[in-house]
Amino acid sequence: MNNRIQDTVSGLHVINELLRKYVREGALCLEEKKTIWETYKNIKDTNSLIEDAEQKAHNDIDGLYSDACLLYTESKECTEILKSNAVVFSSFEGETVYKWIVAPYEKSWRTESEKANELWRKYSGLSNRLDSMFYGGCSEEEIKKVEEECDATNEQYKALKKKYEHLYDEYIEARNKWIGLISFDLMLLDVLANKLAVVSQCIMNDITIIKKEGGV
Amino acid sequence: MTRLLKETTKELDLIDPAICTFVWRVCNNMLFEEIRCTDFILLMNLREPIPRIRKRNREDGRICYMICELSKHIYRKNLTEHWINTILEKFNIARDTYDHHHYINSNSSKANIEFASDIQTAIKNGLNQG
Repeated sequence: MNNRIQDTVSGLHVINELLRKYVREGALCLEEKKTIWETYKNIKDTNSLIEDAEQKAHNDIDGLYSDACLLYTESKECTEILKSNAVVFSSFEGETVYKWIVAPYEKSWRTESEKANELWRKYSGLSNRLDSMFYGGCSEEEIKKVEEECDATNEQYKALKKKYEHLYDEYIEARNKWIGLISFDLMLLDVLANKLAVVSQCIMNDITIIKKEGGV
Repeated sequence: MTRLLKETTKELDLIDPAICTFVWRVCNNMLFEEIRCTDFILLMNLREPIPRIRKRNREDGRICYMICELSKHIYRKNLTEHWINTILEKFNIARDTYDHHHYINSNSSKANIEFASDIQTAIKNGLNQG
């Protein structure tokens, strides 16, 4: 199983690949931008990384040193790419990516909601008609026919309402999950990469001192 | 278990750098003289040597508000008071001033209400990064 540092190295590697592509082609597709943010989000908790490194220092200090070297290389690479291509990266357009992700969820629940509203209107009409039929001297057979249609429409409405409420919950869930994209830009990634470079350097320094002192 | 990674442990954050970044965008060059974002993050995380910061004239109240709002997001709650006092010291603001001036409410000036809203948005944006 990978540890936190290895996961961070892999994440940074993915991000660096995409950043290089961004520089090479001058643009990234929305899916790729989504990947950058999702990966950033997954690796940004440096406190957990430090705690994980501490654990590994007790169990496999040489492995930790190798991981820290890789982390240093990837994070330095990331800061270099960002520094040398500030203009290319000036517009990440996170809001566009957000809208692109969330739009299908919104469309789904709105479509079902409109269908449900239509059924509700039909049901209300039938219900009103039934009321007037009771007092209008209609035959039992006629009333029964409309009553059945009214009940069936109500059942259809209830089923559709349940469906669109579920779709609405999914839409809200998606909105909450991806809302951070709106305010995200690559400066946040730069801050993180700088921090990861410092942390990996500290881990290497600590291990060098531990080794010098003959520990672990 | 004794901690082995002494220097690395000092890199544990007290407050999320993403939150600091968004707050810095609101406050830099307004509440205090221009400072690099990375230095602001180091300052907010009390990283030694703590970078210097120069507050602007007549901005004590808004700085107190900023400190108060950020203090709600300190990871280690037991360090909150220590954090507030240290940051106040760095801004050269007395604790007494902070205790009386860290509120912005509906009776505050329009500019201060807007500032408070910007700070709330900045913090929310930081929290939304995960």
